Amino acid sequence: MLSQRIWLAFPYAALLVLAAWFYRLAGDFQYARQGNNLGPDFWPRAVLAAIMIICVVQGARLLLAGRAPDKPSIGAVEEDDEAPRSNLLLAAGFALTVAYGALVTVLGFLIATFAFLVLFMYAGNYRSHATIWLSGLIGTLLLTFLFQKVVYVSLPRGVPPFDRLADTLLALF
Amino acid sequence: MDTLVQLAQGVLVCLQPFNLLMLFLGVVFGLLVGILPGLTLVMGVVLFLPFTYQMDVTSAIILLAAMYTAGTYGGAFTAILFRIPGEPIDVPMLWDGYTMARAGQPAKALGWTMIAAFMGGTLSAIIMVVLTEPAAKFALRFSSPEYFAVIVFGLASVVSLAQSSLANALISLCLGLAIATVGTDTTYGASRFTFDLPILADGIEFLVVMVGAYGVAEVLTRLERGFASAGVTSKTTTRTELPSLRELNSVKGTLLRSTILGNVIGIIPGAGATIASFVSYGVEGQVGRRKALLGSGIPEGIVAPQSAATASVGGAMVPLLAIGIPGSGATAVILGAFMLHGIQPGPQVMLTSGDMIYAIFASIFLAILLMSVLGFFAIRPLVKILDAPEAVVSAFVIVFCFMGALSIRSNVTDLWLVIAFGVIGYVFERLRFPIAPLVLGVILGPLAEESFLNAMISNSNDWTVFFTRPISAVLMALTVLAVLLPALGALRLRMRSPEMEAKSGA
Repeated sequence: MLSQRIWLAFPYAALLVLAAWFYRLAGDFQYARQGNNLGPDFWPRAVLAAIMIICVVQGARLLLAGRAPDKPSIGAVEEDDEAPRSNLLLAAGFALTVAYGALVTVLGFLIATFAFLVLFMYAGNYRSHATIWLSGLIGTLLLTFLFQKVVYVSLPRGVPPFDRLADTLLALF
Repeated sequence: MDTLVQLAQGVLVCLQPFNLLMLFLGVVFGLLVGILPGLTLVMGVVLFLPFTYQMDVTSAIILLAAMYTAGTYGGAFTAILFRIPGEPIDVPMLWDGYTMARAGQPAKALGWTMIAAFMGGTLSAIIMVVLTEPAAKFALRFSSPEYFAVIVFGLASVVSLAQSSLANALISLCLGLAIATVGTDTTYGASRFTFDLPILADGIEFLVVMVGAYGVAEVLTRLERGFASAGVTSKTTTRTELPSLRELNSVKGTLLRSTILGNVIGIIPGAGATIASFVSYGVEGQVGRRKALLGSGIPEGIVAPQSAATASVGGAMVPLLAIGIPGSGATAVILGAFMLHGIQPGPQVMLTSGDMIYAIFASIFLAILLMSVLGFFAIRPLVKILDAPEAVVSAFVIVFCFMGALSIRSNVTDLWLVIAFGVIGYVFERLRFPIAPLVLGVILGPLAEESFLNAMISNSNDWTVFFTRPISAVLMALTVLAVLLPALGALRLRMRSPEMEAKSGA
């Protein structure tokens, strides 16, 4: 029972430590003081102090009394009605998302996005191969066209030899 | 008369080919966002934000406002026909809308929904036009203390209406305010929490927070559950049958009551269409002429939530355009679109850029009309979107999030920030911390800090100024009430529960 309470209070303790660290960092801001005016550290410190106070109160409440009942939630779906959570699926989603961030500058937007779309659909337990590959390909080309030629956003080209694909496609567009 | 002329000029602006296209696209995508259970209204509006970068501000707001308006209506189709509420707004639609459809009158249920959305939305839009200018003129009296007080009131309302605990909502808000302090301080030029990273010197864009916390986090949460949305189990009619004038006359009280309620709830910062829909249904259950029959498939049970939900749009636009304070999640994104174009909505903009404001007003009237027409004629092709597998839709949603990040400054660091806020959003969801206060904290944080510091500089650091000036004192009192009332309610509920348990035990 106590371990459960500690577990419940843990996020607040972690936030408290984080807020305290940032509070200390705010003391190191470099600026030229202007008379008695409040400095650039005042506002962030006030906000961080508020976080620390709430964390202490809420953490102590959870340690002493356990979980407080949540307010009834408007429009929320009951937990029981939802499918069970899968850590494996979540890990796959996180891994793909992080991999996209890491590889988009190397592979370029085209290849990275196409690979992400296809792998994400497979990770989501969808198994219609034709739909996956076709929608991935058409979607990537369409988005590239839309953002490069309509919205004029500069998308990562990637490094050689992957950038050649982006150049070829842009020439075609 | 002058207002009508300006509104007519606004209609002409909306009828320009590009604006008309944006209006049409906004309505269609708004309806689709409402229909798709995996895509929330706010998330949909966020995802379309990057497309507005190259547009002029009027076209951008027309697109987003049309999406917002239509998004309050689309989910009703699937709630009534397939028992799938596309949005939390549409949950009350299951009780009478779906029941009426099951009783063999799906076309009639769809007709009631259309009429409720059209009339509720139109009446609310009229109230919006009438209220915004006087509200803006009143806001001209505001100086820093009043602005700070109104922002604090807005943030407090968001916190008090949060669906989890008050403490979690407060922490979420404060984290948002803290994130907003990252970057170079505008008064002293001091670097705050930048860790010598050049990208952080410009601060953390509220867009990366919104896209990450609403978009990436939501998709990851749904992936974790294996994209297990309820499937479409039965195909039924997608025809719409409008109620007769006599039938309409019998629900005029409900319609008027719910529209006013939806409008007022929309004006309150943080209380959007979902709360309007539920509260209106609840009020109908309290005071409605046929309250005993509510839940058995009566028109009042459809009209009340739908008219209030669509009416909340007009209400939410009033504080946004008059004072620059968003009244809902979607208007927070619209505020973001204004700011991306270098415009801070408020009394000055309202009074100096009347053409743009009236074009936005007109776009809401036209969006309501267009969504009703599409709702009447195009339900069948619109609900076909439900056939799209959720894994495919979600994969594209997350790629849109990535592209939204890359569009901000063409910098991959923003992509990493979106991913980081996606993770934070997911953790928030698991720990039941609400996301709306975080996002509003990031958006309104700089404004809150600036008005607070200006008030302090002008008043020799005398913080009592917030309580001695009449308008700010009233707003501060309302803030205290906004925070205390739900807390007292929760306390009373908790004190009652042991009593109830003791009684039931005895």
